[in-house]
Amino acid sequence: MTDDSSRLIEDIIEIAHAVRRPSVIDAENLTKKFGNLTAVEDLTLHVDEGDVFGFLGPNGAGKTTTVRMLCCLISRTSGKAKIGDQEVGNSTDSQKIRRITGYLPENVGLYDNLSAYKNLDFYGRLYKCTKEQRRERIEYFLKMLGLWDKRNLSAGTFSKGMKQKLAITRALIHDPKVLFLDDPTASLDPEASKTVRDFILELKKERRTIFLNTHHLDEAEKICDRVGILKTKLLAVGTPEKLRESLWGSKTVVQLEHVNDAIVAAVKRVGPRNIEIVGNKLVIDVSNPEKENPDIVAAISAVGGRVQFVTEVTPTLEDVYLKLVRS
Amino acid sequence: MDLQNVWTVATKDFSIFTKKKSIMYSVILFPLLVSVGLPLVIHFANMKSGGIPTAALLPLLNAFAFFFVIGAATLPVAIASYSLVGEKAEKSLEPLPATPVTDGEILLGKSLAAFLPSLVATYGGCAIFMAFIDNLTFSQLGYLYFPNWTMGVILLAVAPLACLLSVEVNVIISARVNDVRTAQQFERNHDSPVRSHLCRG
Repeated sequence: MTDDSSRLIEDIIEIAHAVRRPSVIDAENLTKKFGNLTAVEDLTLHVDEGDVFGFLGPNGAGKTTTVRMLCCLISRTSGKAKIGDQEVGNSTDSQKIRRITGYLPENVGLYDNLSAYKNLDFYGRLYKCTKEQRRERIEYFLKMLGLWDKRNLSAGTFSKGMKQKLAITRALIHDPKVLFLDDPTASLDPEASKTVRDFILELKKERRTIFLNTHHLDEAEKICDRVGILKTKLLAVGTPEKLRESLWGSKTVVQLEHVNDAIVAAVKRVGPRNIEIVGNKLVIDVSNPEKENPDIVAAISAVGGRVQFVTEVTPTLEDVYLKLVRS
Repeated sequence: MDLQNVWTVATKDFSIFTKKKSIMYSVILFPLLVSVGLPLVIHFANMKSGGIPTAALLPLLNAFAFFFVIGAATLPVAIASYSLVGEKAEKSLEPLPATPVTDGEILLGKSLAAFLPSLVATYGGCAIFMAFIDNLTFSQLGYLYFPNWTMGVILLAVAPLACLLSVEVNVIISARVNDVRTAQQFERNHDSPVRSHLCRG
């Protein structure tokens, strides 16, 4: 089998897989106003089953408000949203939505006077889990997160990272299909952040749909299948790679011995493009680097320029985010 | 309304109160002081100049019994204000509405968590008070003064109603403030005219 045919089969499998997965979170023109302040405006987005969706945006962008609307904690002003087949805002459906979703708020909201086990057991009882289910799940998750030995200690004695892990476990106690995590690694040290991130990746393997509000762009890039950038309105949505491609494009960096006007003019003659001069470097927008880079190097050499290095700029999600948010 | 959810919320609050010494002390202290302190007043009065005349003793005992109504109205303040405002301040109330529990079930559970311990403490204090008083007055009256109809009405009707009223006022106040001490102050201000009226009576 040739490389091309095997790649074609892989593509077909991927497409078939994508087509088979239904959308679990659907929002259409979802809007929330607090008096004259519009927190979220005309938000339309779809999250597929089993996806980890990263919701990015600056403080006050409306991320938490969106999650609170989707979890039926606050009402919407207009628009509509669905979790699975249940409509957000419908009082009967709200109860069903709460049964299939788990929510980790920004503040962990644990009972400091109760032990870790009792904190989880309380929520398990509210979700109508049987005693056996509660015991099994608490043991499974606490062992997974290395907290099983501390199950009888008061949650108030836990460190921030331990509390965060416990709160995520609380959101999972009823085995929800959809998990809303509001900034799960906020104010955690790098090690605790990594543990939480690894845990989210473990949950991803279980094909749970995870809606992740975060400020950490590297975290979103590592964990998320798709990301949305919100600043009251949804500015962009897609996979991190697609966002980078569509919003950033390709850039070539040419390091020279010296930059002068003749070199810049020569590069411009190769094609109309944006050129940025940073010290002895030219940062050049290119649409097809493989084809254009040799022409650029030839043009520079033709006017006496001496090329030291030619590299490609790979934008991070942070570059894309900042470009969108600042614009 | 799912009563199992109500009970789950209430029992969770009971577990927290047993670990919070300030709440435990405030619930136990008042009934204990009244149940021991008032019989002591009778005891020391009896030791001085021939004691209290029977005609004056009986209305005094009934008046003392009303302290338990004041107790029933005061005790839920500490519990209810912590249960609602305290949780709001500690932000532990936030994940609760994300569960399938309704607001009504949460409020009823929390009301029950404030109502039951207060009433049990009132009844416990009252039992001690009646035992001491009967012990002190039996020789003078020739019969056991307590339990009687007055105490029956107080324990079965007035005290539970006062307790319930206090809990509900606290729920209303708690919805509007974000600090435990503010809630307690508001509640006590609200109760003081009722208490002064009872004391005067």
